Amino acid sequence: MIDQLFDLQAKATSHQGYQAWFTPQGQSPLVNLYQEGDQLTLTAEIPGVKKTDLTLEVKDNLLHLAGKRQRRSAGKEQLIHRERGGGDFDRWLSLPFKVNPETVSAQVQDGLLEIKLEKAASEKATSITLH
Amino acid sequence: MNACLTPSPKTYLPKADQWLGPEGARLLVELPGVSRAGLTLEITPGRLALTGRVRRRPPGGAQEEYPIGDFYRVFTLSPLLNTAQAQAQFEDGVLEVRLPPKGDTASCLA
Repeated sequence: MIDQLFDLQAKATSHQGYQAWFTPQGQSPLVNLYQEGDQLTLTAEIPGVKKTDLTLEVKDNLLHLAGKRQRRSAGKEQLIHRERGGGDFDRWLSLPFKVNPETVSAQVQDGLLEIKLEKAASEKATSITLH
Repeated sequence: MNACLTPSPKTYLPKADQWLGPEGARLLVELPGVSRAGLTLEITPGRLALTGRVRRRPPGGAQEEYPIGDFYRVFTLSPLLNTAQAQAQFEDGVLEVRLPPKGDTASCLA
């Protein structure tokens, strides 16, 4: 019983435990979305994924994120404990508004993907001059 | 006094895989968002401690699937491993630490 309590506490304060509760798909990268006015910043944890193994597409208010995780050959080694996820991933994300595909920028650094998106002109509010 | 009242930022356990073979032990640790400058690794006989400092969150209202915070984890190492000869490399947010076996203990690890 005490061990179970400690296990629950450990899960609650670990990325792994957090993922178990909130991840829609087991192997998909976890994504955070930040909105400031007409700007969106999306970050995703993709440790070990090379830039060349990543596919990004955006259309209207949908973002497609797909990638391949390369497994290193084990050789004579034996895996004695595994916590990291593996395999390919493919995820579609619904954004809060249509974005301008011309202004999307993305970079991968230190295993973290950061995408900056801007609201499409057709979605922006138009101010009306009062006469 | 103020320092006592200021909540410290949360730290999280990074995910890790552990491999063992005749060439020793290999540890792969995921530290997304940690730069090389933000990584601290301390290896002493029987113990490996790592701290990874992450960049702060972007501005704006947030919907977060993963928490933002630094990483911290301590691994207990076998006395059969030669910590003085440990090698580490850090690439794409994944830390790899290799620990060779001590002298004539390779057969014990195979």
